[in-house]
Amino acid sequence: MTPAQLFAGVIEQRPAAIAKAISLAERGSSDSEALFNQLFGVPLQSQVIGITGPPGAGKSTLVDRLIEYARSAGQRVAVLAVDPSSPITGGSILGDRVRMQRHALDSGVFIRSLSNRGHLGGLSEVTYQCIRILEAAKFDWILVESIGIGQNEIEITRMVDTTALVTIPGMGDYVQAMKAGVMEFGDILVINKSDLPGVGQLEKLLLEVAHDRAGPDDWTPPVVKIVASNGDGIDMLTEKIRAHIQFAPEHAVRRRYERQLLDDMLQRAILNRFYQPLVRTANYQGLTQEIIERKRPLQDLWTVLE
Amino acid sequence: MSPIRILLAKMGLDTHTIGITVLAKGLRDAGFEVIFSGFKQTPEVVVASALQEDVDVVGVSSLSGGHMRYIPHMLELMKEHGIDDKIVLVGGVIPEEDIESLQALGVDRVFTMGSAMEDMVRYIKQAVAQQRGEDSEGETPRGEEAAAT
Amino acid sequence: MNVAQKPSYAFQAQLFSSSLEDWQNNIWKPAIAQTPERQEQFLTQSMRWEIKPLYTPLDLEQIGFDYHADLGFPGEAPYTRETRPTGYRSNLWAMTQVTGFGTGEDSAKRWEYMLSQGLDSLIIEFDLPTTNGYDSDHPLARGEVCRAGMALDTLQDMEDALNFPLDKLNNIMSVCNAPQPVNLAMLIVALQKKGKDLSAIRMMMPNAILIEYTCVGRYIFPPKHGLRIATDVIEYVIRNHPTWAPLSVVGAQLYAARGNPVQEIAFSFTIAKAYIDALLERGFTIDEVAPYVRHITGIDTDFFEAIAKLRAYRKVWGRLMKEHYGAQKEASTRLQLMSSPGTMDMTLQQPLNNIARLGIQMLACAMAGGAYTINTPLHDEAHALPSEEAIAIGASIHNIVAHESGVANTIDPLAGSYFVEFLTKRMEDEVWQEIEKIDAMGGALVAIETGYFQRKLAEEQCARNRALETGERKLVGVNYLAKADKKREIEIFKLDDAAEKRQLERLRVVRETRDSAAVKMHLENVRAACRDGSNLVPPILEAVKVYATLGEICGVMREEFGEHDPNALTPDM
Repeated sequence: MTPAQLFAGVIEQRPAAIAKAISLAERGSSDSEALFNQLFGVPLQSQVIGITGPPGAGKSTLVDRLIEYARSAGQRVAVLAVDPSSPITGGSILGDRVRMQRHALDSGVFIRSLSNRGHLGGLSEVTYQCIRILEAAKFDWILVESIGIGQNEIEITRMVDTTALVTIPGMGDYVQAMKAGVMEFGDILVINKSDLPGVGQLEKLLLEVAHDRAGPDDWTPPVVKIVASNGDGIDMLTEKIRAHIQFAPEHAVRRRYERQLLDDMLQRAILNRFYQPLVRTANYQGLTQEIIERKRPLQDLWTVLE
Repeated sequence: MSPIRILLAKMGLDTHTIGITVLAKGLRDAGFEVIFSGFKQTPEVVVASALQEDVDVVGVSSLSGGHMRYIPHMLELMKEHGIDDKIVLVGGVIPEEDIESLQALGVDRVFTMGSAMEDMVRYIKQAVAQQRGEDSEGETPRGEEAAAT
Repeated sequence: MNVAQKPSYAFQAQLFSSSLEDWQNNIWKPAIAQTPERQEQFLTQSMRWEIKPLYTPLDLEQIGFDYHADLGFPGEAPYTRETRPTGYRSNLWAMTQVTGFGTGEDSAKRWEYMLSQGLDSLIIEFDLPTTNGYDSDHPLARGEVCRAGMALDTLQDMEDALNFPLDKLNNIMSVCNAPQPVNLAMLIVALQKKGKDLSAIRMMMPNAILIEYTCVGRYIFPPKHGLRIATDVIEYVIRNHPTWAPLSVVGAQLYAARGNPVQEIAFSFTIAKAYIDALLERGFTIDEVAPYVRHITGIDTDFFEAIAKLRAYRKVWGRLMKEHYGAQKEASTRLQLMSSPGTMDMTLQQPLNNIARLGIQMLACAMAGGAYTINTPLHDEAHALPSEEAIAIGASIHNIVAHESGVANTIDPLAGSYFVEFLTKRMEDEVWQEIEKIDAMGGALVAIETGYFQRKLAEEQCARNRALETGERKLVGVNYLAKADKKREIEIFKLDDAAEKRQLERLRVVRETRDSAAVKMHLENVRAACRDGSNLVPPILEAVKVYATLGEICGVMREEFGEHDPNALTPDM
């Protein structure tokens, strides 16, 4: 299928087209660029919610509950589940889907597992494109599940409308370590498995974090206690999600990200336009070599640029 | 060659975790992206998952003996949904005479108990490469159009 | 120092160690230089403990070995030499094999044959729909009926299965697990209807639901309800059929899931504690309950590791019952064990090799002792359920070991072996460490709910697989001396596909001819028991008598207790 055909299929909400479009975005090629250009025209019309947190926090079980909630409200919901891949082999086991499979036959639900392998252009770009594809297919909610560690995953928080950070009792160390990282972006701080001992301590810690976080929009992240495995507290959580959606200026975070994205794209284009040709000339190689060998002054590099 | 995506599913009432865990890790170590569909899966769920995940390979593990019921059903569904071009592998306790029948119905390869991980990995790489029109090192043959075999 | 006052053992050890050193330097090292050892390292197969070239009295000294503390005498604490005073010199072990498949009628035919071959016990296994609580006409049962074992939909199936002369039958083992109360009820009623005196038959039900959550996966309800149901069965049997055995912790399943010996023993024992604690809560004393707890162990081909495992098994159990629970009666501290040689290593390739493996494993069981029953799988088990030839060979292996090898003619013949005692002690120590670790977590139920057992087993599975792929662990005919094309001809038993059809027809007839009103009423009584916590077995007995189906009874329990989702417990891969 051509990019145009794929795009048409996505707009028509056909699962096969959505799946293939996502694969195209993952592969990264001139075709995926063409698709991306078409996608950009699609308005920001979905609620994109990031569910992030360390392994073992029960994110997938929570996502399963959120799908249930969304469906009961008549909303179409898509899930992107991102899992780490081995830096050595490049392989990965994407096991989040398992906990959501009761929705596999629901035509109002689309679940896709992504690994964070070295995508051409980076994980963030691929994730962004996937979100856009799902948005073009008019899913009301798009849930992006990822592990909240690392630069890539922090990037994800920049391209969603609401970020829910999920931890469980006993993860005090993680919270301390992440205070300056993903914690900064948590709009809702969720304590899962809140029936386990130690919940009091964790709640206290998170309340501190929430208080410290001086959000420019004056949103104080609420701390919500849930037990995803039996559904306790999910109602409260969805209430807070709705509240944040109401509160935050519409898609402000995502628009900010897009501005940054366009900026990056422009810089890359400029780089390609001027840097590549320059580097390809034999002069350049020789010149830099001589500068490094201290046979010519650094100044000469700037002269060449002129 | 972009990573190979493989859906692993256990069909039937057998819920031993042992074989599938070892298999999943072995395939991951070989560089594949392994999506685990779950235990006690029906053909419908397996096919829906394979479609959404746009996998290259569908791997079914069957240990309880009901393979001649649900695998043909799964193959039918794949055809209905237009994804019968995916590579289908079956593993587990499959008697000799059933292997032929399954292959005639569209299963690409059956790996019985005790098959070496190496063999499975090699087969998958070759089969996927062939499908994508690349050689198994992931290079698209230069020059003429890669002929689909 | 007055040499005469030192214990003579230590004095000898001093002299000994210098002569050992001499040997090592002057004889062993030069010999090694000439003919190097076959491997860089020699490891035990499952624990991967390093094995030295030679074990000596110094090794015993190192572990603080003391005959009385560590070995004792047969039939008394610490039980290391044997749990019973006379070992196999009076009674040999009971010889059993797995069977049971197809419809009730098929099973009856097979069982009659087996009894005629000299076996006096039967092990009944059920198909997957049954052990998962579904009737044969349930949609999920399609293609699975009568395959992994016998189909048990109604009392009629059990009546058909027992439709042959029962006078030679002394022991029945019925493996059902999740729907155990239904299975128990059907057995009781069917036997009663045949006029068999229930106290003349020894009935054993593993009823081992907790193990199922860790590996095999034949569970229905969430773990704490599974435990309640199992406890109901145990309580009912203790009060009404005190000669029966309502609990066997099937460590052999852990073994089959690649658990190593230390894990098998430690996980099994902490699981046993979960059952015991549940019963103590119902008002039993430890001495009323402990004699009912049995264990089933899996035996691998590493001969000495198996022997050390069997000896450590009974030594640790004795101490656990005495020190942790304060058991007073001897019957409480004496481990009751069935040994189940190697289902794990029965290879698909060159299946006749499995006969040799079984011989070695049987030999280890007979030498280590302690098992009142030894159950052999059949050499063609990797292919399908066993054939008649395989059954005959299995029986012969038992008899050759028992009557030709002589190993069962004295008690614990390997005691005192430096190697064996060293291994046994190490096994025991590591088991205690693991038990303490699990206790610290909160016990077996917590370990199951948090996935600890599952994770550990998954680690072992990967390690074993890696060892096989690298060739570090050899499996003859598979990764060592494998012959690509040679396929041995053995008589493979083919399962009759029509069995499923016959079963469905049978079920349909029963559904049509029974009293539906009575069934409905009794099912509601089952529901009431689910809710008020009373013992489930009596109402289930009544339901079974009016031909309520297994699926219907389990269906009611599903509604009351909920289902346990296998995908929720997926080990983090």
